[in-house]
Amino acid sequence: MRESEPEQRTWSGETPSGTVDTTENENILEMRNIAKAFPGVVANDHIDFDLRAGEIHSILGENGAGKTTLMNILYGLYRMDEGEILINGKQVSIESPRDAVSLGISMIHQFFTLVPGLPVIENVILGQEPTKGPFLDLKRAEKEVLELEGRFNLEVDLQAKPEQLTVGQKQKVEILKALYQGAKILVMDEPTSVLMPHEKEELMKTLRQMTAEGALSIIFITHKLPEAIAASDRITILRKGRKVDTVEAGKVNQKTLARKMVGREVLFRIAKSETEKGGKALEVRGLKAIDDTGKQTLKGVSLYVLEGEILGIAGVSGNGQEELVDVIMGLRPATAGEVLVKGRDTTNSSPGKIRGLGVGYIPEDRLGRGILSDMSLGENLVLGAHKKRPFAHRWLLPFENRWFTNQDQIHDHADSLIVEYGIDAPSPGKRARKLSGGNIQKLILAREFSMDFNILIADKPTSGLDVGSQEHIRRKLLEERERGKAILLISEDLDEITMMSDRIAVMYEGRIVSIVPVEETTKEEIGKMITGATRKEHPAVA
Amino acid sequence: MIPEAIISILSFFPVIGLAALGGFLSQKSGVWNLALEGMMAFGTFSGVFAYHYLGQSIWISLLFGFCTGFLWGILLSVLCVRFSLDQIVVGFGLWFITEGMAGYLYYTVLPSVRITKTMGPRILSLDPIFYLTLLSFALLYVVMRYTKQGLAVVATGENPKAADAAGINVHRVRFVCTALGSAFVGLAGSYLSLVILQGFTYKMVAGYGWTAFALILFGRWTTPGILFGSLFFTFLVGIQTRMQVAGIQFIPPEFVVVLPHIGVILALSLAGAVGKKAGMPATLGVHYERE
Repeated sequence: MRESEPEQRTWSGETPSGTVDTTENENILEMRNIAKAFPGVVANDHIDFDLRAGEIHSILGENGAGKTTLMNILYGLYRMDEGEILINGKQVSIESPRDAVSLGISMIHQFFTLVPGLPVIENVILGQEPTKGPFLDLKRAEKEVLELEGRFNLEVDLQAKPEQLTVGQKQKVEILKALYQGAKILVMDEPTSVLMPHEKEELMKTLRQMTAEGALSIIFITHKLPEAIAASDRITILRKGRKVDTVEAGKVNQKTLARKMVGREVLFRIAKSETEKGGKALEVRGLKAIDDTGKQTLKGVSLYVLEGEILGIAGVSGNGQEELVDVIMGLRPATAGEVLVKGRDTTNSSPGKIRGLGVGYIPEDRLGRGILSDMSLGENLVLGAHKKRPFAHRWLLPFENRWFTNQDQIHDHADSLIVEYGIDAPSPGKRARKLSGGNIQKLILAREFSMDFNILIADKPTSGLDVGSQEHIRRKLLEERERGKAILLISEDLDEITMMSDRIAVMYEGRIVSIVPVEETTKEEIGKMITGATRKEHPAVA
Repeated sequence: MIPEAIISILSFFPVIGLAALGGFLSQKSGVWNLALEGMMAFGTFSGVFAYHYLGQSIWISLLFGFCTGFLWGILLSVLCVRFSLDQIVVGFGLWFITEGMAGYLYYTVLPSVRITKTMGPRILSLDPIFYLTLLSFALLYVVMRYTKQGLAVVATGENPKAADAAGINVHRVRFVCTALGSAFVGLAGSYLSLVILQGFTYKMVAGYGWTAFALILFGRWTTPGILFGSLFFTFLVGIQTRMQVAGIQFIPPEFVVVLPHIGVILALSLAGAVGKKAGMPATLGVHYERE
């Protein structure tokens, strides 16, 4: 089991060049006693933070711990209520990103800020344009940017537009932009959350190269423990707006870090109990479908989920999982095959009808499909039941008008779910978009679970969440399984799949290549199968 | 020599071209100017006003129209960029105010004014404003593409967050683009009353402001596209005028008057069918504020 193993720096596949532990290293940045409060929340409660020249310093914390707020203060996007910032020992005042950039501070946000329609080269030089007379000097710019590209392995086509680039390439453009701005301190907000595994490796190499010369220091915001350990020299842990500790990355393991970050022991592996299996709650037979571009991505999938069982679908994204979920939920037409919910044919029925039969859904696209981000937390919690009593009065919808709706019922409902699911929100009236990722997922879970489903489609329910929220959501799923619910779990995380599932179906290129009971396989074997390298024939596939 | 018919058609071009150019500039930076029609109407009045009171010079009157457009543009930017009011509500409000004020002021403060002077010098029988309009299109094209100021405008309209992070003052860019754009719209109105129709009548703008607005969509927010659209519409107006002058009997005159507008609707539908909103600045109409 993972937590009993000695900690390894496994994430990047290699140990970092060396941990900086000399105290003689000058602090190029010091943030002292930083405090910032938003209405209802203290985001930063007198935090101290320092950064040495040439180091990579992780800021580790759960969603909503105040990591991004602290960095937005440094970057001039927020004004601090109290505290001071020193650069090279001199006190500075940073009131806008412009001030930050001129002090050598650049920040790469979680969601990239490239200008669509402008070629890469113009995006890189934006704000720092070299000119010849009144005109842009694109020749000079190109020469300078190409030199940076070569030095740090950041090759990107300079004439391409952002919309033609992959996520990894866009990130390279953001890094180039920061370097071109002459950054001495580079803040990266959750830089790996959007990357593919091989892109993460590449990013790590680049970061090491950039700091090796000592001219650049990096602040790395993350909630992922292995990343923090593998990527950084030191780690500062924040919890609920407070600084917990600063530690040398080489001297800690995941378990102690997790305890500092969450404030309690975290179980990476939750034990699951035996359950009584019932009949087939959900079954699909020979299901085929096409994706948005018209390509056939689902090429005949057959599987079933029993009551009291979790069927895990393992596979790399883009092998037909998305289309499978869409078809089951009635969001995409099946071109062949059938879907049976408790024995009833629901192929190509409407989502409303399918949900009416007791199928719950935790979508991968939380913001797009999971919630209505401009509506309140309370209203989001009754979505789907909003037309029914006690939330609606007769035939009128509840949201329009206080006179005809049961706002009180909606509030009470929300209040009880907020407590039960540990949603961190000041009131049910809070807009859903203002919640953190972990809390949005808890909201969706609370809503689906409160609607009394028998079957749940959970599409990557824990991706992108911090370990505390992950554990919480996994526990809830296992609880529902024990109550005899049938759960279809789609995940790319092999640890999660092997921990949660009773049986594992491996999906590759639109087909199920194998379905095996979890006791008869290993993580390594599944890992090989999802790449199409091996297949294990099993009677269940027939 | 260019035939006289073509010249009389082309002489209308500055009215539509300048208005479209002005609207384009503010839209490119991310601000809807929905008061094009009204700002033009006020331009028609202020041109005639300046002609009467400031020494009967066409040049000074046009400059005056340009300046009043600039002032209305400042009001629009203060309300929408500085105070983040809804651009659609403010735009419509300004349309009604400016159009109404133009008519009211003309009939209260001015006697009936006839413009007797014409503009010179002429090249190929076309006045300097025609060439200035063409030059403005060329200049705007170069600025948008090859200067850091143009880059700042595009970035502000497409992704103000990125612009802000790169040290560009988003509000200032939008302020300048909206005010300057409105000045061009005012100039277009003054040109209409001073040079084309040589006098003022209430509602003389007759939908040209909205046509200019439509042409920005038609031109997909590109300078060459809008230039082409403006010339196309100018041509339609010219044909309509010639049909009226020729006194064609078998088509009702009311129908002839709306012909250019039908042409624009057809062209817009065609453009829409091909590429929908392609080219539209991504944050057009969305107020930007740091969190």
